[in-house]
This record gives sequence, structure tokens and C-alpha cells, in this order.
Amino acid sequence: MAAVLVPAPVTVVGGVTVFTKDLWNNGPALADAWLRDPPRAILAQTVSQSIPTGVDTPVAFDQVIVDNRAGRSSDGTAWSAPAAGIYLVTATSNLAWNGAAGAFVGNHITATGQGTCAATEIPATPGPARFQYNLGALIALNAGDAIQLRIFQNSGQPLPTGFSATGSRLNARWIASP
Amino acid sequence: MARLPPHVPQISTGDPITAALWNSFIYAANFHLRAPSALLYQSVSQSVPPITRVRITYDSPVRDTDGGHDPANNSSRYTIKTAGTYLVAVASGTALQGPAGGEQSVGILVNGTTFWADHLRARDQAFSAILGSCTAEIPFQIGDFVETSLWQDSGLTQTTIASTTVGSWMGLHWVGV
Repeated sequence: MAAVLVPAPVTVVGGVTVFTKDLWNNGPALADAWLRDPPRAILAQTVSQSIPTGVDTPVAFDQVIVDNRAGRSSDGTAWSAPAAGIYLVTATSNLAWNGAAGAFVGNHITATGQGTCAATEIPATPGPARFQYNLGALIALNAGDAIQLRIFQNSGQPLPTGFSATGSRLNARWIASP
Repeated sequence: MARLPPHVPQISTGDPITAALWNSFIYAANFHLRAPSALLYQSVSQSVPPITRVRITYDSPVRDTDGGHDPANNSSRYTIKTAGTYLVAVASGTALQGPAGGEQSVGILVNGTTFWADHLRARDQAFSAILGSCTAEIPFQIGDFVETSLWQDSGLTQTTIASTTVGSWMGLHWVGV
């Protein structure tokens, strides 16, 4: 039978530095700061946007509720990951509908190099006056990769995003290392 | 039970690692491991009149780490005890009564006024039930409250499906400052 080592108490001699400033600041303090406030964004659309027929159109988010690493593009149609990681991405779409029967509505979350990561695609026949859908995905992103919320419709005419309950929103949050 | 969000401060050269500093790290580690969290569900069916924003009442908390839900008072609400950003997810729906037609929506409603997410769809399908869900990340202050909103315009009063598997529920979890 192999001998079992009895743990020896570890003591620190007086005057010995256990934590240096850098070790503390880059260890416990940095880990907590990152977990409390990782790269993240909450974007909203407050201005109606025309969605052309037959084009998977990125939603333009004009309002920044949170964007702690400035990842939103200047035109509001994309948010780029500031750091590599796994991101929880959720979105709500919004489209007023007065198109003809037999048409189709799609809502997509897309990412650079990965295409569609989440989708709701439904026939609009017979359709209500409005559509509003909620999407979610876990997406592995490299630093600089962009995500978008896109709306597609093929009614044959442009249709506006609407605000029946809330405008379109896009949330993204780093939740883990790649 | 209110809690302070964690905060491990930076230090300067020569600063000692005091008990308070070390304990701030232990507090933060424990907070991140067991952040404020709740999961509520409905076990008793609820009437949903047409063209009325109904707040889903939750009578059965599965988990409520901070005591933000009171089944006896304003049971549709979860009231924030610890400030921060929360991931909120809700689901709800009704059995279909009467003819198909109209719309039905499930939404996340903050402080009784602001919709943060919504799932709105047609009631044209002739299914036995219609349910929806939505998820959003929402910044809250202490005292803010969040609810599940259900709306329909079928022309008839509908009834929520009360079930632990496909009924109404609301979950939330603190994910950061």
C-alpha cells in the first residue's frame, strides 16, 4: 500500500509578500471585474425602417442602451465582438404587415462567417397585421466578428418595422472563453 | 433579501491584502456562483379576456434566492432586490377556444409600462393550444419589477394552460452589473 502524505500546514513568514499589487489586480480583482461586466450590448430600434421585399435586411439599431466596449457599427446594423468567446445573443424583431396572402416572413440572427445562427421563418398566410418574434442563440465569435438581426419578407412591396409592443432589440453578452 | 453586487477593488503598490480585501474576493466568488435567481410557474389557470393586457399570476416559485416574489401579494411580479442586469425568460399560452383568428402575444413587461421583448403571432392555426416564449437581457434598479404579459384578440375569453411542463413560467438570473 502506497504511503499517504499527511498535508503539512503552509505558513507565511512575516514580512514575505504573498500578493504583489499586480498579482492581486490581475488575479482576483480582474476576474471579478470581468465577470461583473463582460463585453455586452443592448441595442434598440426607435425609428421605423423600411424592409424591402425579397432582401434579408439588417435591422438598424439607433439606440444604445448598453454597449460597454463600443461594438456597435456607425450605422447601427451590426455589433462586433470586442473579444473572442461564446456569446449569448437574443433578439426581438418587429414588422408591420399588410402584404398579400401567400407571402413569407423570416427573422434571422447572423454572424460573420457562420451565416444564420437562429431563425424563425413562417408563412404569412393567412397573416395577422403584425409580426413580432424572439430569437436566441449561443454563438462562438472571434474578436471583430459581427452579428446582425435581419428581417426578410417577400410580400412584393416594402414593409415598415413597427412598434406594436416594443421595437426590435438585440442583446449580446460574452459568457465564456472560446 | 437584498444583496450588494460584488466588487473586488484594485490596489496600489505596497497596499496590504487586508481581511476586508480578501473577504471581498470571497464574497464575489460566492456571489458569482450563486447569483440572484428565480423561477416561477403557474399551477392554477387564469382567464385572459380579449384585448386586455393580462399579467400572468405565479403561485408556485420553484426557486427564489432573493425573495423577490410574493405569492400572496402582486403575484404577477418579481421585484428586484439586487441591482444589476438580468437574463429574463418567460413563456405562456392558452388553450384555443372558439374559432381561429386574430393575434396572440406573450411579452416581458417592466414596471408595468415597458415591453422589453414580445412574441406576437397569428391565431389562425387550428391547434389545441397556442404558446409563445421570449428572452431578453434587462438592466434593473432595486424596486423595479418584471411581469409576463399575455394578450389576445380572439373575441372570446381564453384560459391559460396551467402545467409544470407547457404552462406559464418566468425565470430570471443576475448576469452582471
